[in-house]
Amino acid sequence: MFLAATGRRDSAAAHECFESLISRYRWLINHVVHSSRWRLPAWDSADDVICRAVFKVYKGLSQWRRQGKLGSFIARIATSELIDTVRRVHRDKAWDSATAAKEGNTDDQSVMEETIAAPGPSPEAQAAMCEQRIMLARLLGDVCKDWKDSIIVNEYIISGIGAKEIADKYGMTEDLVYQRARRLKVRLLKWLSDRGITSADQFLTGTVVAGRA
Amino acid sequence: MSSKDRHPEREILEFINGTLSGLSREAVEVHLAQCSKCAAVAAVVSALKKQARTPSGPEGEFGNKGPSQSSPVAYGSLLPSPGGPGGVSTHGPSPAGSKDLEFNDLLQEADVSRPALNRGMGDARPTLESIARDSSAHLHAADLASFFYGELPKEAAAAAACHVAICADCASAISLYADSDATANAGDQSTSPGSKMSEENWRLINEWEENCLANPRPENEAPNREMLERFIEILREHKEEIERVASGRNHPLEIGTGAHQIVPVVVLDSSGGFRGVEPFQRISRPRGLEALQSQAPPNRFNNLPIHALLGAERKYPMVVSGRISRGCAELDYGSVKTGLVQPVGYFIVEN
Repeated sequence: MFLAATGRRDSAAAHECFESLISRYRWLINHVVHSSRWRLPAWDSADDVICRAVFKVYKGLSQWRRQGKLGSFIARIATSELIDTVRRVHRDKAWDSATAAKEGNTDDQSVMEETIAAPGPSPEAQAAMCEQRIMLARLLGDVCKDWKDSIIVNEYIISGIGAKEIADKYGMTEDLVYQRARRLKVRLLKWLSDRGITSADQFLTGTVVAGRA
Repeated sequence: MSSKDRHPEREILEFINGTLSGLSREAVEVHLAQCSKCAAVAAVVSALKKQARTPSGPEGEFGNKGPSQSSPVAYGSLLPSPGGPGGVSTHGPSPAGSKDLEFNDLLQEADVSRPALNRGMGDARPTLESIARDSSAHLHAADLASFFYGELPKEAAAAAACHVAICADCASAISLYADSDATANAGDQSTSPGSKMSEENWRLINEWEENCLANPRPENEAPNREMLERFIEILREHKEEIERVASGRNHPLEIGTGAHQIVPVVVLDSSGGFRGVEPFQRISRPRGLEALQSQAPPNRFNNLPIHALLGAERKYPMVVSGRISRGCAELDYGSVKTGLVQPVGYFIVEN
């Protein structure tokens, strides 16, 4: 109805429909934003985020392709708005502190000299590191089939967080975490084997060309 | 676990994390020495740990505690700015751009978080190579959402998967999508009391709808952010000249016209360069409408758009535009809030 009203430029009808829609889904926007309210800088920031999310829902409704639940669509917009806000806050904070540090630093020359004098990796080592980064990126891109795989790699394999904690945080079951981890290992071994990497030494020394399929 | 009969999966991870001790540690060491597969896995995991980016500060953007780094928080899309009106990325990594965000919010940012937008991606999606080369930038919220909902094309999905696998901040952002999606799917609380939309929300929507910025103008006529900034600079730099024209000293007035009716209009070239100040006469001003008559030859500005800047001190300055026809320009302030109808300056962009 909202889309139809918007299409025929009937703003009164569109407003009415949108009000009904927001009445129906406001709890969801509130939940999304308020559950992360501690990440925001001030007590009233959550309200700002909610207002902006509502505004974006209004502007974005015409883009809804009816491929999923409207609730998911609205939750997605609210979450994106929340992420944008949190990132902006952190970025501004980091920028302020970086600026303050720069202004307070009156000994730039010595810092520069120290930086120049500091031993860095040799060009060969840098090339090898770059090669390994590319190989790891391809490996991750190949073995991670969706966001859940990426999360398992990040949280379970790299960070060593427990399966239960991951399951709670991402709405999975504990079994799924173990199952995915096992599948990832199988895919990883296959990936290595396909590229002729049969030992740790081969991988670490980068003796195998990263792009070899 | 004395040989290859069982691969100690969890123990290897704990071993790499340094949380294994005593006999278990020795057993894993022995196993790794004997089993080339597990040793390869351990090597990959170690390399991944080394590669993994920790949150860029004492506390990450999404609350992950990690070792601090001295560099500012990287923020922005991996995607180059597509440049189109619907695909503008306002989140460049430049810290200097941070102040522009507020202005651009209503103009462009609505597109950022919207799902399923035509953002003109083409080959501008992040690639594995770009991720490998520069892992300092986070994935944009819209890209994270598309990745979470499985909407990214294959290559971009692989790049996003790679980034999320090693970026703690983006992984935490994914957890927000997981939580909100689960909540959305869990239940419908439409009958909850007090769910009527607040007046504040309506005020925001009404303000936007009544804002002249809500009416799209042809791209070539809409002054961009740089042009507005340049114009505001010129208003400061050429204040005396503008005031002189406004006072009518250089331009003899026709009989019956008062000095207060002369409106100085700044003429800019297409690159924002200052060309001069032209006097226009305000010939009438009924409610919500302003008509300005050029004192230059009628053909000079014929068919050019003229812009009036309103509320330059506000977070969201507004521009009302009209078109000059046979030396006469009409500006309609009907859609602007009453308190704002006091232009701080007028300008024309002359090719």
